[in-house]
Amino acid sequence: MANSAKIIGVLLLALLAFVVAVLVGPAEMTSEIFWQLRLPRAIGVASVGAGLAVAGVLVQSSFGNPLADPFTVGIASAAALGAVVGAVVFRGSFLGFGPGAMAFVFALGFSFVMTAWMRRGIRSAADILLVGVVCGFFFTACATLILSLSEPHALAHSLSWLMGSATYIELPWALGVAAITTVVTLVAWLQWRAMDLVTVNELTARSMGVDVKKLRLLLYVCVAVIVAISVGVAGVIGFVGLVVPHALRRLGVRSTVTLIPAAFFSGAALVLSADALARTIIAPTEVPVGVILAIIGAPVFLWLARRSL
Amino acid sequence: MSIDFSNFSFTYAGGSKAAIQDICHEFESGSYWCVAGANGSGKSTLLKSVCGILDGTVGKGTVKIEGREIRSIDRVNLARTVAYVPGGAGIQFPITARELIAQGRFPYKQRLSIGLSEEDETKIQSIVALLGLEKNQNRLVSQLSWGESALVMLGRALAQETKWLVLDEAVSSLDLGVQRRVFSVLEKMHRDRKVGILFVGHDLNLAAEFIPKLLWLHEGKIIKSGPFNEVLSDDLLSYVYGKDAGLSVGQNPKNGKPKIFFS
Repeated sequence: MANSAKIIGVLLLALLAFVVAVLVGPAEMTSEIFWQLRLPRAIGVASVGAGLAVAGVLVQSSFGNPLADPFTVGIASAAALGAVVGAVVFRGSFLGFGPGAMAFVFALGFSFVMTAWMRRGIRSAADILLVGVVCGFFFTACATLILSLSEPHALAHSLSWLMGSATYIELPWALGVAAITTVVTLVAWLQWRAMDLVTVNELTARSMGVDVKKLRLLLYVCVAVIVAISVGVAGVIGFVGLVVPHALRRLGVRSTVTLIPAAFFSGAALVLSADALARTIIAPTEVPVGVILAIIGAPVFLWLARRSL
Repeated sequence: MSIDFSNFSFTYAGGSKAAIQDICHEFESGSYWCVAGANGSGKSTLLKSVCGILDGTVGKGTVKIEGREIRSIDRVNLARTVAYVPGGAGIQFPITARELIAQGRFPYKQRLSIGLSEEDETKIQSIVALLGLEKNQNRLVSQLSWGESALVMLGRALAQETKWLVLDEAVSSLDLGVQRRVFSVLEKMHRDRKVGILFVGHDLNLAAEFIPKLLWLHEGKIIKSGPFNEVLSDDLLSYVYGKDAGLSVGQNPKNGKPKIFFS
């Protein structure tokens, strides 16, 4: 099957998931529920899924490392710490900003520090990833420390952030999130040739005209924006960024030129379906979407990859 | 399109000593060189300086290609002039042999153009045929033998259609048959297309069979250069590798090419 057919396939899948996500839910559909709850949530969740899957491609390609994802570069952990600080330390509101906004600030702040460090000298991919992983551990430990000292009420609130749970979002915000995610994806997509070259070999990529340092800085900022937004909207959702690019590559979508759009749509489809399931499976209780993704997604991925693992 | 080193010295970032120093040499347009020397003598550094991929400080001097300083040439333009072939790429992501060779056309592509032109496809097909990769062209590089994947990396460099090919240990650890294939291809490029070649490798007996010229590096400096059989001598070998190595130069009885013996 040609790659364009695969992209159209995942696009249709995403549309289908979108329709299902809007239609299903524990409450009966009214115009109010549609416009104020279902539609904004579906748009927000689709953007988060699309963005995280694209962020996974960007991190893996720019570092030439198939194990990298938004967590390995530390950004997602920084965002999680921000959410916990927002929920516990500032009791859900700091100058009117909630945990989502704090997650955004922490993710961007950390990426600012990292890019400043990356710009100062020549850093190898391994060094950048190592610093990212170490910082990630530090942020997670800080978040755990704060949680262990917090009251039960705040703890429950933070947990829903940490495991990924799409919360209430207004329509204009959801549309804004979708627009930013799309624009950042397009900006990154323009670098597809450079990413293709770096995934083969960094040194030869440079010999073929790629400024690897600049490329990493640009893509790092793209990933930071995507992750900051997605944690702000839906909490910390792992798995998507790591697994969607791998699954697609194993299905034969290899070049970044097709991998990015394919990841965009399949990430949206995946998280939309997981969120629909999360809302309905034991309604009215919501299961965190991150939990659904990993519990169902991990075996499915292993099955998909069984021949090449 | 000659490559000119004039008084060129280079130190790696974080390094205390210059990796190459006071390099003065002209590689004439279309010439074919083996760059030899012990480990750490600066061979790779010399090659990388030609490809514009060094990280560190240039102490002094310049490297020019066709009179233009390499560091000032736009990187994509340089990729149309010099192609670099490393020894083993360690590819971790799935990509087919043909897709990898097609990447050699990237420096000729506009940012927004996707896919390959018919002309590109023809060029890639002829490279696939030249390297004898027809049967395996659609297999993943990770599933090919080490030798075949080295041929694919060479194929990508050929697809760049450059005036210079730079090979850094690109045939080390390949079997004799694949080594022969690589040298046949290089010979053809050198003869028919007047492509200049800089070759680094440790198997000097192999190099002596195919490469006309030899340049010796020792501790970052050029100690001798010229036609292969004139440069290679007992004195030079014991100077570079030590007397204890017990090396001497003789002749290949079949074709008269120089051959190194362990005594």
